[in-house]
Amino acid sequence: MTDDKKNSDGNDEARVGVFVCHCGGNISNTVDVEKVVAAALDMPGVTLAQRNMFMCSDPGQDLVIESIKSGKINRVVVAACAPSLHETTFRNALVRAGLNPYLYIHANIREHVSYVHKAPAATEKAIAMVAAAVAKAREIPPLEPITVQVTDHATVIGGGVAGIKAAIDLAVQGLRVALIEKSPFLGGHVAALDSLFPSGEKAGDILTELTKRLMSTPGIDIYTCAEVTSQDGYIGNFNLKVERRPLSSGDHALYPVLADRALNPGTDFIPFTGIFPVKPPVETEVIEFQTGSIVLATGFSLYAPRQGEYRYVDFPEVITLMDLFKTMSQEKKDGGYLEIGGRKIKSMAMVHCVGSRQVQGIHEPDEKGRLQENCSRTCCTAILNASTDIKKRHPETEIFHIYRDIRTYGKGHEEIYLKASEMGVRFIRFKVENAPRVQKNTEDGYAISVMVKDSLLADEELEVPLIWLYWRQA
Amino acid sequence: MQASLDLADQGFKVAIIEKDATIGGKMIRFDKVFPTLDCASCITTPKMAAVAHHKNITIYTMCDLESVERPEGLFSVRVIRRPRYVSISACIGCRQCEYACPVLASDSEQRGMSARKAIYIPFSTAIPQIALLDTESCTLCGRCSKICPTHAVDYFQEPEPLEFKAKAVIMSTGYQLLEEFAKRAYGEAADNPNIITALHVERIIAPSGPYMRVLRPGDGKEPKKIAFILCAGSRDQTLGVPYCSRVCCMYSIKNSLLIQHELPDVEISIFYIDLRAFGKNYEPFLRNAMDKGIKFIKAKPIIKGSGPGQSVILRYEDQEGTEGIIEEEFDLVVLSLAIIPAWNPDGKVALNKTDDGFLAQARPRSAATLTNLEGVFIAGTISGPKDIVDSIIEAGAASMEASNFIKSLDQKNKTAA
Repeated sequence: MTDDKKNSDGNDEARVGVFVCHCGGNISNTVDVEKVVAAALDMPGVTLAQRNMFMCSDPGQDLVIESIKSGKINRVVVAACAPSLHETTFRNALVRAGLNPYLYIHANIREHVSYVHKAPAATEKAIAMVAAAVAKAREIPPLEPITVQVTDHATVIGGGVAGIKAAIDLAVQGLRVALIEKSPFLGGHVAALDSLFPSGEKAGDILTELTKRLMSTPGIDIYTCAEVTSQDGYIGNFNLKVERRPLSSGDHALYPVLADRALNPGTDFIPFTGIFPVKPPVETEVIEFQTGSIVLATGFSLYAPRQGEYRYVDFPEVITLMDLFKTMSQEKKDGGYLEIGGRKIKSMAMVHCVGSRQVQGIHEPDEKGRLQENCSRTCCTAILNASTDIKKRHPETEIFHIYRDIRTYGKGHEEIYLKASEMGVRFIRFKVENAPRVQKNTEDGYAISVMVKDSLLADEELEVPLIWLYWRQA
Repeated sequence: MQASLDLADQGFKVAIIEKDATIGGKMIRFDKVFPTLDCASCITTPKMAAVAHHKNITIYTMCDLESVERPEGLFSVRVIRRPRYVSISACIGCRQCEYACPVLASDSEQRGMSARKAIYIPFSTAIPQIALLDTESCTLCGRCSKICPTHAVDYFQEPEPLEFKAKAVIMSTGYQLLEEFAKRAYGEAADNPNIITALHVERIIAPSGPYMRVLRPGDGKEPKKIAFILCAGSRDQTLGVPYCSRVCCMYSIKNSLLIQHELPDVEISIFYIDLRAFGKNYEPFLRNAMDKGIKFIKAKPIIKGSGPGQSVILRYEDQEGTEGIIEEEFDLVVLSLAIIPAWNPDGKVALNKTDDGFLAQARPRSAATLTNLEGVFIAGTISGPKDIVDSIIEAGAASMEASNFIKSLDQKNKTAA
């Protein structure tokens, strides 16, 4: 083998090397990889065919590199998983072997074969796919990458904690950053919180700390009351059109503070509202700019309960966790019972997983036919933390948790669960198929009650009397 | 590895200091990962290869951290490199020594369920592909040294102190399992080879595992009834640790499904306190396991003792049942042991810990990877139990913080100059 042949970039006759990956059994349990190798050896243009437990591993990649360096092959086919996983991995191996990285064809015999077919048809399809890859490999020319200028600018969409943090970090990296927030305030959902579990830090303090850094870091343009109205371009050079609108009556309804006082932009935290960093425009402004990269940090919204679900809306006694947070922070007085609207709350129930962990056949899908199957991650600890706060300040108020699983998995969370139990908070577990029912009470003494089958008492139905408050987390 | 790659891609020079003989951590020893059932190797090996070939990254294996200090400007990181008894520069990873070695020793890579040689490469995808000699089992017969084509075997290697100068340090020392829990909780009843840990299961079901199929280690029989005991040491103030280990629910469900796939007739019971499937798509994964007939029993069993034919007898009360105390025999019992810190900074690095022994985050909310030492960052399970997804996210965050820290440092120096 002469030297010029060794580093041939496709100018001489194609000598294809085929490498079949077992994927540690993901492929080889279904596909007869030995047969694939044998079949590959008979394909025109193939000068070498091998198999390996993990082609993507270093020893696997070395097989490819050695075969190229020795001159046996000048085109590579790896039959393995999806190219999205490892096409780049093997192209890099070609580069290390001194071959043009585009003299490479990836055959997906995992997602397209072993995951979806049974033997022996799987083996036949794998062979067919390898044959196609080999045929293609024989025809491909070497390619040279082009260089495209990238805009040194990043856009962060969403002015909550995630967006603020991302904007700061990107700006410190030396990029110009646009932070786009649709409301007049920064802070997102965190602004609607009071003290945070497990440390009891104030949400406002965290937001103030972050916003101070945001506003003192050079190179960040903050656009509130703003929305992206159009986007085109391509990776590295996007064109964005952002519309900033003046304050509307909707804003005034949503944020009473706007009417209460003349707001000066700054980093002061306005409780349950957020931080007012810049003045909204007097009339609609359209801003157009180029950006290299976009970070989406648009956050979440809370589950909207359907009419009658747990009698929310029907009964004023049924409220959400967010409502409770607000109520608790407004109530300054400590003592025997928690008071809401001047009424003493003798007992309350916290129903977990409203709109979370939905199960097909039990819960009704939304209008788009979707279920919210996932856990909302934060509610368990948030509710428990609120319970300990209530118990601390109002030890006489009885609290019942009506739950499916208690998921206090985070650092310092289990301790809150323990504390709540020690403070006398009571727990009733229900099975997903036995959703608790909320009912109005005709008898005097209490307003509503929750009927729940306790799975830890062999599904016996209990009546939890709720004097005034029942509360839901979505 | 993720933090190193993120930094190296930005042009920083990175030294990876690893106590093990190979990089890859716990994940490379796993079979598949939840909830996607992607194979762990398929995700980890390319990362290992990317690290190994990155021009800005150098790997130092078998190193024990001695100290991290910052007298002025730069950090001084001192480590002791334990002897491999094989020259790193000379070894070509041909494994001739391994083939020639006559000694068989228990293979810790397979959790002792199979054997390896006294001189060996940890596993086929290990990085670096350099042999190491285990002096505990070596008989000094000299065969490895004679056969080595590059004369790499060196019986006289000594521990070697190394010092690194760095502008920032990222600590990601991970976790270990509370291995002594079984003995502590169950006493002599725990002395049954068919009581194993989740890491044993990872090896048993892995394609590169000890048996190449699902067998129990006690007598090599195929298990017909398997129990998974969750919270073995977690959420247990008396015998274990008070906190939740976060990943056990999910990996036990995953392992049950994988075993069920191999042994369709197997009967699997998962004993739990609460089912904590809190991550994205974790809940549907749990529902799928329920639909596939995996039994979920709300109970905290004790191991009563051994039954006929090496079986394990559990004693428990199903809190959702009406049968009272039940005694049941299982062929194999898997303990989901609590996760505890792998490394203690005391006496080496002046880092603060929380009561649980994990490292303290200086600003857990606004900058989770910062520590009490400026310029020292943390990522992964060093600050508490975490799943792979969360660990990788933290690695990205730590590299961003480290990068920004170095940039501001350089800026300061420039201004000062």
